[in-house]
Amino acid sequence: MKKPSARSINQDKLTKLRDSGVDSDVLLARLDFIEYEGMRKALVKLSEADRVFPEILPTQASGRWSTKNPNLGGFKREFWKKHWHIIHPDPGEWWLEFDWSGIEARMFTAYTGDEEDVQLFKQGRDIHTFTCAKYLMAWAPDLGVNSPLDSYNLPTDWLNSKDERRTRAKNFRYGVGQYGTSAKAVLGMPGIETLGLDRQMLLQRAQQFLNARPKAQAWKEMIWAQCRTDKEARTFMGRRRKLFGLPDDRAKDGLNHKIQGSVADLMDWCLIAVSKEWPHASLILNKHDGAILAFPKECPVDTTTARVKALVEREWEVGQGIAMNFPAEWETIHG
Amino acid sequence: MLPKPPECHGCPAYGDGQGWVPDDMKPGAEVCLIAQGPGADEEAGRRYLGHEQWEPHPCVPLIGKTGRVWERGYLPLAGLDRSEVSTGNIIRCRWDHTDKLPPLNQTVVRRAIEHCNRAHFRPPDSIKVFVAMGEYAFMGLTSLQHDFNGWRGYVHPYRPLHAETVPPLPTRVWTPGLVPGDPLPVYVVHHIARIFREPEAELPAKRDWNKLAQLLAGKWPEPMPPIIGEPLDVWPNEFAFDTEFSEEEPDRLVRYSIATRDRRVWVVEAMNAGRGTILPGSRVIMHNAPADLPHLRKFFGLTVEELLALIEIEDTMYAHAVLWTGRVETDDQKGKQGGASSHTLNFLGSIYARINRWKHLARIAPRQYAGADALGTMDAWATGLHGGLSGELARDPQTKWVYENLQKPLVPIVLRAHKRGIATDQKAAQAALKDIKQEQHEFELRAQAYTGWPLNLRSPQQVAFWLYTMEQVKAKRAFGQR
Repeated sequence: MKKPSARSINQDKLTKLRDSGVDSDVLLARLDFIEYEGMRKALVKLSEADRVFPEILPTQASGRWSTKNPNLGGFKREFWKKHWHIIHPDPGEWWLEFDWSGIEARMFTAYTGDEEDVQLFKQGRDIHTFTCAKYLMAWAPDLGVNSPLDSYNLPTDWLNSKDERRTRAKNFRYGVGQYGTSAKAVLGMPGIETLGLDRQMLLQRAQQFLNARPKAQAWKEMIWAQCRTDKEARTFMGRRRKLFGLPDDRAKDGLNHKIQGSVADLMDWCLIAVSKEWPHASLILNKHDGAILAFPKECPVDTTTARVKALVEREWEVGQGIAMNFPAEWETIHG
Repeated sequence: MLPKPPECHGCPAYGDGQGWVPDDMKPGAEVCLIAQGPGADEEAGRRYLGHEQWEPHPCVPLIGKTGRVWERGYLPLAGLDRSEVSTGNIIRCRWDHTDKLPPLNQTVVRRAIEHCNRAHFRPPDSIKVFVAMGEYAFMGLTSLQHDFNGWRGYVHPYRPLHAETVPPLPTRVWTPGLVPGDPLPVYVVHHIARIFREPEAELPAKRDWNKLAQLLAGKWPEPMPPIIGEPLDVWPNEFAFDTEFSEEEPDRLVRYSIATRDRRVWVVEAMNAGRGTILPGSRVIMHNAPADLPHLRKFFGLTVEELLALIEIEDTMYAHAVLWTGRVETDDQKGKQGGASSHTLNFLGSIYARINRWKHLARIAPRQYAGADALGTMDAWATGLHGGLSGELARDPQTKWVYENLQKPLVPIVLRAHKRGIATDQKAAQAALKDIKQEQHEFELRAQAYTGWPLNLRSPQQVAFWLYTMEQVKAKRAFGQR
């Protein structure tokens, strides 16, 4: 990607500034504004016609899809929850929507195979709450994967999935565990200082988190080294990405490709599997980590959903000999 | 630092009259490379040796870091060394002793290029090819201000900006030397410095320098074959296929084109297109098949499903996306054809096609354009440089598996999704639109409350002024600095 000029206000540049900790309401407002601008443009198209014919291209980086005219994939999840009825099934069909939950973290765990994370996922635990309680805030440093929720010592003002500390823990997991090069990555995380932990404490907690995941650290080192020398990365299904630029940039892009490209592979595989089994089904929308599919009324909702669910959530072995499944949130929509 | 010669007087880039870097023209050289402008090393008269070491050197182009990368990493790909190449810059001094030139669309740059080249550009008669490295050199040698990315990897007739008269552009796929009196070719390549900023440019840049050897040997570009206008009764068992349809009515076909491996090209107007026969097992190559399949099926009276059951398809866009996935959407690409790397047919043509560029001919020579689209697609798949995409897939079985099993089967899925469309609830969309506008208004109010003046969040200038001039924001890196 071409580097923007010093005074660029493009989305990538502003996002980088925000993520580096720049604290400016204008910056944040502009970023929000740009995001909503894309949604506004799509809505203008939707409000002008009783039917839209989006252009779909499964040719973006690492196998991702793009949808334009209008860009229905660009709507935020919260927006869809409130305004899902702006598009609707035709008479004689029903829609099935799935949205993979935390698929990138699961994919990373499937590749790396550290026992704690594998078990957390297999038992359906909220990994971010666990990370927050055991490592980042260390309210319960001796937590095990089987510990019940009341042993997490969560504070009384805990807001579950909306809690700011849980969000920080989620970023901590991605920024330090998944993509970070060392415990020091925690110090560069935006807003981490709001947790009230000092520099030494943060470093110590990040190191504890990494120490508990030796396989992940070894795997990352191996992938980074491969990407630096081989100048290419591949997903477990074999999708390659040629890597350019400086060695560290290649390492970063290569690791991203392993994870994001694998998610894209799964999406493609699922859509192809569904179209083979239900030739009269059709894709409505490919969203970031999910899709909406249309089925004719002749396909019974219960059995079809169960079968599609079995395809979408099936187990895959992507490395380390661990079979991991990828659960999704499901919804059926009737016209 | 050399003083500027008297001929520089009157040039908008004259400045303090110091720092001139003359061209390094080599008698007998067939290649003349023109870069953008000198850097600090060229201006100061020192050659970069690597590892932050320099040696004194006469002030000539491309002796700094960029020149070293070009000389060692790219020029040898063309089978050349520096002694065989004349070098120059389109502007022969550093603008205000900086590396930044004013934007290409400013008149002052145009005037400086014209002045500089009238005064100093004296290419030897031995030149057979100009190489324009970067968009300033491209404008100076072709008089085109726009579409550098579109021409990268192709040859354009030499039409210098400083010439008294500029010949009209050919209304055909241009092959240099085919017509007596043709101008010399200008081969368009990335500036090496761009690769430092945009690493994905490395791939096309390397392939471009590799192709220069073929250009010099007269092996590329090949002439566009004559176009056959009669419709086919029985279609070939392997062909590339492309359609041109009405911009206003995408379902209305204007013409279609076919190209075969043996470089026969048909362009058939829709009014002449009759019903034909397609042989079972035929292989049809398309660029973005979901756009072409609905038209193709009509010639045989089949549904898309029936046609797909009868034939085998290949898709050059899908294949390229699998082989060369990566960051393909750059700022340069917006509204233009091709960035540093993209999956457009123009980009694929620049890498694989055995013919020169055709994508600029859509309006001025639509039949040439249509025929070249099919031939370029066939080249991109099989008959072009590097063995085409099919050759690259054959050399990488894992990627071939992904193409065959995860990418190509998406064609009917994408086509079906697009064709069926999605029903909308216009009232619900209008209500959602109202919500979005309200949210945007609140973002603006938030920004205005912060700045204390009616800042317009839509205005890039106002936002940049606030962030970079008023707040002077810079990326922060470490804990405790914020």
